[in-house]
Amino acid sequence: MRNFGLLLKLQMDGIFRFSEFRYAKGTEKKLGFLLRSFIPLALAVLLYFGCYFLGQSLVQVGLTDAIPLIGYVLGSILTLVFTIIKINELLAGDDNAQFLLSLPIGTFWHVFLIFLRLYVESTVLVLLTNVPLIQGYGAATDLPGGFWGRWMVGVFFTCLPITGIASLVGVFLALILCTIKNSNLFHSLITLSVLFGMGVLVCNAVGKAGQVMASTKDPSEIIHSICVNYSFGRMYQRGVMENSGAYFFLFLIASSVWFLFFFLFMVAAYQEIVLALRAPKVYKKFEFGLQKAKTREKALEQKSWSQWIHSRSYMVSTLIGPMYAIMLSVFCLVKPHMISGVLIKYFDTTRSVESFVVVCGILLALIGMGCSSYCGYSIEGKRHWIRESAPMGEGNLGKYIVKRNLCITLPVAVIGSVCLAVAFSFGVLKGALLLLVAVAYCFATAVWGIRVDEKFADYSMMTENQILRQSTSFFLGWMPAVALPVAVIVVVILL
Amino acid sequence: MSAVLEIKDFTKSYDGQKPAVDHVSLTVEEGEIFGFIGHNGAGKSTTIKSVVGILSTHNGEITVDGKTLWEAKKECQKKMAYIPDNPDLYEYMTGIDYINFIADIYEVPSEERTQRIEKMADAFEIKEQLGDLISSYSHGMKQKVALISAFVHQPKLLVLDEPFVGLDPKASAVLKKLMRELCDQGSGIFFSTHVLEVAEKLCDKVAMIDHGHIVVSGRIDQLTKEKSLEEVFLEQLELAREQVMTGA
Repeated sequence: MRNFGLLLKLQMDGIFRFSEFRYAKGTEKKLGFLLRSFIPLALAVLLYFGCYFLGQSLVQVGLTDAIPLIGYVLGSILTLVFTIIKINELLAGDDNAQFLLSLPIGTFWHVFLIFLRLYVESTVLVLLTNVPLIQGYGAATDLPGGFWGRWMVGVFFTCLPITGIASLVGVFLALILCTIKNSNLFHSLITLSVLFGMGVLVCNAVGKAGQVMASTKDPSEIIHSICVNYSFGRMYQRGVMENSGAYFFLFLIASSVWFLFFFLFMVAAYQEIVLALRAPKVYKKFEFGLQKAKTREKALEQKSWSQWIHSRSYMVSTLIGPMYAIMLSVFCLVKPHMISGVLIKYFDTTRSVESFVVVCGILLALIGMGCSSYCGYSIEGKRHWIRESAPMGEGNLGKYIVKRNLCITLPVAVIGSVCLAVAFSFGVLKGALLLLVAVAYCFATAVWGIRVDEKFADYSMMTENQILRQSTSFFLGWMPAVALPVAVIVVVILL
Repeated sequence: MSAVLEIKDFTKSYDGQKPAVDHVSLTVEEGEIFGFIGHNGAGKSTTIKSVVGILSTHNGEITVDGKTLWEAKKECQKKMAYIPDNPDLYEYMTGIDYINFIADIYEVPSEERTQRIEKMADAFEIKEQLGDLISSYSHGMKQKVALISAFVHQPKLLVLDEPFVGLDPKASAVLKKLMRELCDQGSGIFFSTHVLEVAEKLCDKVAMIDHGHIVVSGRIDQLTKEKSLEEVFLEQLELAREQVMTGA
């Protein structure tokens, strides 16, 4: 039992990082930890208020009755994506997996704790999306007796069925990919495809919402379409919303059984999965031949790209923004009528300067998300000795990091600004200004990022995720690149 | 013989108060293998990291093949190769990609590098694994790849931090042979170790460091005339600590 308690502490520490704070030496490090904690907190607040405004908008357009079910589906989608991305790392992605297997603790408890961690993190996401949505719902309707109790239970069961199946999908993907030499690249492409798919879904949803606003205000259409396509959603709707005791009971039992099925499968297959994921890889036999020489510059440039391409979290986190920027711009260009209904709700389109600033701000924020130079040096981590002891020249590598950053963001700035200028009929002058500002922002963020990393690079961080999401370079390099345009948008909307 | 590495009155402190290395001076001549001996935390790695330009703030002077490190860092680094005690390499590269990357940085021509890599890879018995990703390598294999990449450009000064840790007996023997061959070509080697037997058999000169101070330095044949290196080390260590206790 004591060992189980220690493992539980280990998993919970992985989420909340109590030890990192407790054992941080000196006030400066403790403050640094608190400052970094602000980032997930800020993202949580962003998600919360995003959902709050979504709830308010749905009430405004007459879709109040569909809000709880939409919240349930949103929570399920977030759990799906989160679990697929996270499961490999939790099951066997880190070096502790084999060590943990050697401890005198049954496999059941290992898997139980992994799923407990997944459950806790997914439920936080479900709460962050569902609580603000239901606030809008509660304020707009007369709630039936016992609603809050049923809803609360429903929320804590939301992620169960999805966690099970998503973990299996994640493990299968990892098992397939671990046989491929460039598995990280494939993993990144799959993650980006999932995120791309989500973007398409959101664009379609926005489009459909626009159509609904323009024509019908009947939420039953949405509820019906979700219930037909997602059986757990149907049980949730009947049990929690329509107060059917039998469906409510069925929802709880079905969610638990569905989860248990996958959980027990994982328990049975855990050791084999860990061993398969950690097994030495055998690739095509290497044949030694003439080794071609490259110039120092070419070698540094290739290294810069290679590092970015082969780091899953680095590549994905810096491609999300540019990918969505292109997607949004093209969507606005090809289906302007679909978003006009939504935009009119928020912006007075007769005030053209205002709409220009908002469109420009959105594009810049997404370009800012593509800033990869903010951890160009610090991503080297414990390998920094290679750069520092070799005659690469001060700033030489930095030049190629900035160049790589621009190769990613500049095409996005050009395509995005042209598409948006046409979609919103900005005219030649404003279109040129949008292009100029976007291109300038690409240069500014790339150079700002590398300058910050030169000054604040921390090579002591253990994992790339820590560097990418918790370093001072992230806080001072990446965050302002995204936050500044968002702040401008907020100011313009408030004014 | 001219000096490939000269450290004069070098002092380094991390917190601005207690020095990790205090007024260290030593010289590595062409063709010499210089062993830097000391217990854990004595100041070996700090000195080595300063020599290769990783640690920058300093007092004193370090010259590599006649050029001052602080004034011509890149020029000095072109003449050096360095391997830390725990060589973390670019795991997203294959072994051969990494060696070629280092060879490109040091501008080693195609034919020369091919010949050298093949010879060393054969000797270390790692040729067939050079096409695998470094992330799949064991500690010893990473060490071998790091060593090949250090020797591939035949540096004027080779700086190694605990190079024998993690190597199998055969690989250790190969490394000793490569070190001697490099010195025979006019280079110098400065390496740290706490394995005194290795130092005694391999080095031409040694220096012992304790709490940041050099306590013994000299040619190995002179130091071990009457006693083994281990006895000299323990004796000097005892003496140095007595001096600290008495405040002398």
